[in-house]
Amino acid sequence: MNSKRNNLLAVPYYLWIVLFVFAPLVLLLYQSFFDIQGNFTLNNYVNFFTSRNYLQMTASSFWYAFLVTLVTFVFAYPMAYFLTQTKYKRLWLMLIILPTWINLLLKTYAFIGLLGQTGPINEWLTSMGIGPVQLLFTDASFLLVATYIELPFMMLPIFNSIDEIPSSLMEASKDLGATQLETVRRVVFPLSMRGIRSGVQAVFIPSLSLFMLTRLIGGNRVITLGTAVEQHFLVTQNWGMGSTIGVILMISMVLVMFLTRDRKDKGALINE
Amino acid sequence: MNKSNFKWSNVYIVLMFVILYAPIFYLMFYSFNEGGDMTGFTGFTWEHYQTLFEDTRLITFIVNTFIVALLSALLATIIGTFGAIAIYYTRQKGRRQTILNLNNILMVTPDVMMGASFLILFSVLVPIQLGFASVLLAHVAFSIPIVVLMVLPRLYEMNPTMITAAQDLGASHSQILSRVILPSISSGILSGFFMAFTYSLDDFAVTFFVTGNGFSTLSVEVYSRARTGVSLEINALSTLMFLLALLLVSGYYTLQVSEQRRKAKLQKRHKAVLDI
Amino acid sequence: MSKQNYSVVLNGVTKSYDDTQVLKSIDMELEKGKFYTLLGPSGCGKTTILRIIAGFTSASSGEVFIEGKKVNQTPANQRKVNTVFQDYALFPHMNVYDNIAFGLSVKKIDKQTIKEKVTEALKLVRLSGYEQRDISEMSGGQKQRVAIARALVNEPDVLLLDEPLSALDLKLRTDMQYELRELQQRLGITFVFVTHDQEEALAMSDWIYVLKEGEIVQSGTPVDIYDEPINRYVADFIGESNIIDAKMIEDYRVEFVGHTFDCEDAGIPSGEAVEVVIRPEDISLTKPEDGQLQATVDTILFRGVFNEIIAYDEDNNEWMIHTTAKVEEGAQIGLKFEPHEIHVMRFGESEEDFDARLEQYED
Repeated sequence: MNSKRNNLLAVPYYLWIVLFVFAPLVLLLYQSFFDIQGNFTLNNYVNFFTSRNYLQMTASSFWYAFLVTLVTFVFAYPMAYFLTQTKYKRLWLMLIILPTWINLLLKTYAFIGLLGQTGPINEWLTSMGIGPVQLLFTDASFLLVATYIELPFMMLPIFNSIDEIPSSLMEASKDLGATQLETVRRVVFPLSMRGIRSGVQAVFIPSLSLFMLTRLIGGNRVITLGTAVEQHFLVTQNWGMGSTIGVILMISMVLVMFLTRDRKDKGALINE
Repeated sequence: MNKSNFKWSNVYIVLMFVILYAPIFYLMFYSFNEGGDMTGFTGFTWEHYQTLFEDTRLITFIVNTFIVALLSALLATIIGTFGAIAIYYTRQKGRRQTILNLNNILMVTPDVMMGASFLILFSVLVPIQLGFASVLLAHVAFSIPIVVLMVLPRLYEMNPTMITAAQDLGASHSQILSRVILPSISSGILSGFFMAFTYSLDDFAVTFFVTGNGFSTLSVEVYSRARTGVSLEINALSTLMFLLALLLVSGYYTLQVSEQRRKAKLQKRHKAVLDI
Repeated sequence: MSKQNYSVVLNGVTKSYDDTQVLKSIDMELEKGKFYTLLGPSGCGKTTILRIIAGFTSASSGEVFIEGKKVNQTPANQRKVNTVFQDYALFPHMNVYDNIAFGLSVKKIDKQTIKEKVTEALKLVRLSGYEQRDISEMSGGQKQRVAIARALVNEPDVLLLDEPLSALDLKLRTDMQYELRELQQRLGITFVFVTHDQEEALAMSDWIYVLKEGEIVQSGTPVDIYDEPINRYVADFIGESNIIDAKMIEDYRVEFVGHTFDCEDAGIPSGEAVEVVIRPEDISLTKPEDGQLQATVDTILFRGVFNEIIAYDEDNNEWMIHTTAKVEEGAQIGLKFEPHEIHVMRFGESEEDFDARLEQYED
């Protein structure tokens, strides 16, 4: 069913695609070829790939993103699995999502207090005799806070994919003699791959570009590609270089999406 | 039935919840602190809440944030819904897939990139001043994909023979749209609106880039204040926001439960009728 | 008989969820090597009984014994019982071989032995050569057989089947009924089969338990249940039947529709109101004056194998007759049946009393 009406109503949508999807990307790419004075140049890219600084920064961005994804996964998977076994799973799910509605900044701010020199953790450490430790502005604290923030986003898709597994499959596994652990390893885990992939995508990519978090919690110790982009756009006004890094970020993102794409799985659940 | 296994999984869940909510409760706890910071609880006071309500600057930003969220969610929902319908009706599979891919690009774009690229957009192509307008447009822009993603599945779940039946009964195109299609995807539209609203409320990075000097939202304001140190006013704010979110969650949950009960009752009634 | 000699014993088993009681009090003794069917409409509790035997649910009270051992506390994965699920529950991410081998690999059996057993199991269900196939490529009937093989390869003491044939089309269903029955007899394993299809139950079972709302209403061989249902519920559920209100005159004589008939039931007090069951295929049509009862033909349906005739007698009772004879709508006919084809049912008679009465008065 076509109808001009339909197409007319969809015009704003198509306009949006052109203006806000196409154009920005094209402009970004375009901008990456200009230097700070406005001259056309390839230098930005040259700089990037020859500068030890930038390459290190890229590597560390990936490394941090990887660590955050890994830690988040380790904590989120058991949580998701146990939740599917509970009676009021929808309720627990809402309670897990609830903190994500608290503004990101507010949560980060909480950690500034928690991890500060005079904060409760340090207080407790002092009382134990270990004395106040520099918690803020370290790698560890950055990882902690990033994991805390990303946890629900890893948990949700995994929960959904585990929940979709028909309970008869898990019963069948037990019926055939497998323990709960074996059931998870041999049946639940392979069949939840799709959720795991979504979760990895949902966590890894944002982690690559965290900049607010790095500033507030990581201080100047942690510099990601995100911080560099922000720096160039808003501080040094070198939009050219910022765009270049942006392009690199986008390409990395596409790469990650490609690597974690949904292959035609045997694990895809068929409707009987 | 494994009784021992049972306990460990519950312990884990409880532990995780404790960790998840600890920072939030920590904030809430200290919002009542007499002492000016979060280092020691010296006494109970409402003063920070008072300061909060007197801080017109912050209140303005909070109101801004909600206005932007509501408006952008509304606009995004309208545009996104019709976009989803257009995608649904696209015949060629290739074209449909391309549009979907384009749709999802913004969903997976790191917000830094979105912020940066929108900034370029606003300075070069779309000549708006950086402020309310730019923030609003940007929020609409990143909310549209999620609306599409919430509405599209409902369209596919919809029984297409309903439309054929409506045509058979003589309905015009706009009537089909308003009386058949939109009602059956209403849950998707609502979810989309809700998600768009949440995205907008929570956004930091994109807003940060396109906000210019005068206008600010909650996230951006907290960021600048947090950089200069602790202010228990923020704690008070967090507590209120948490209570609000809790209210919304319980409201949503009770709605879902009552919806389920209503459906179960309806089924029972239908069964009783059929059994005769 | 000690519990040892039975494959499965349920003693006073009940099951309640919150405030609904799903099983009222189930007592069963299943002998080794027989084909048992739990028959009843949806919600009667038959699947719950199966799940209690398998160990997926625990009984609220009562005892469950498998091969003489009390298993109430034994978890499902330690019971020597295997289940064929209604939706087959095959693992979609494994091929046929791995699915069947699953139970064996969990027991850490060596690869060579697994290979032998899986090959044998596939042969048993006539799917040799399908080892590498993807589950998604298989038809319903094939998936069913894989599910059966996957269960049987573990050599369980009892095989539980939860409405395994309900998703198959008619022809396939009837074929599978033969196959399952033959399989059971060949292997000599106790089968516990759950279904709501009475024809299936009659065809395959050594012994049927008819269930209603969490209770066993009647149990017996297919012939017993068909010929001598204990009450209207069973008579109605199993096969087609004509159920008429009647009155017991004396032993071996019963009155209905104003006439007295010889029958083969006794032990019922004279004058008691009862119900009488006559199967449609037991009624023969004659000329009105030769019949024991007269009726007018209302509708005739051609069923292929027979004509299904609905007729009404002088009391306006509806009679269903299965016959190959040809009649016209509106014609007057005579109904004739033998004494042994009339079965008397008392109201509210318990199975014990029923069995006792039959034993005493029938030979």
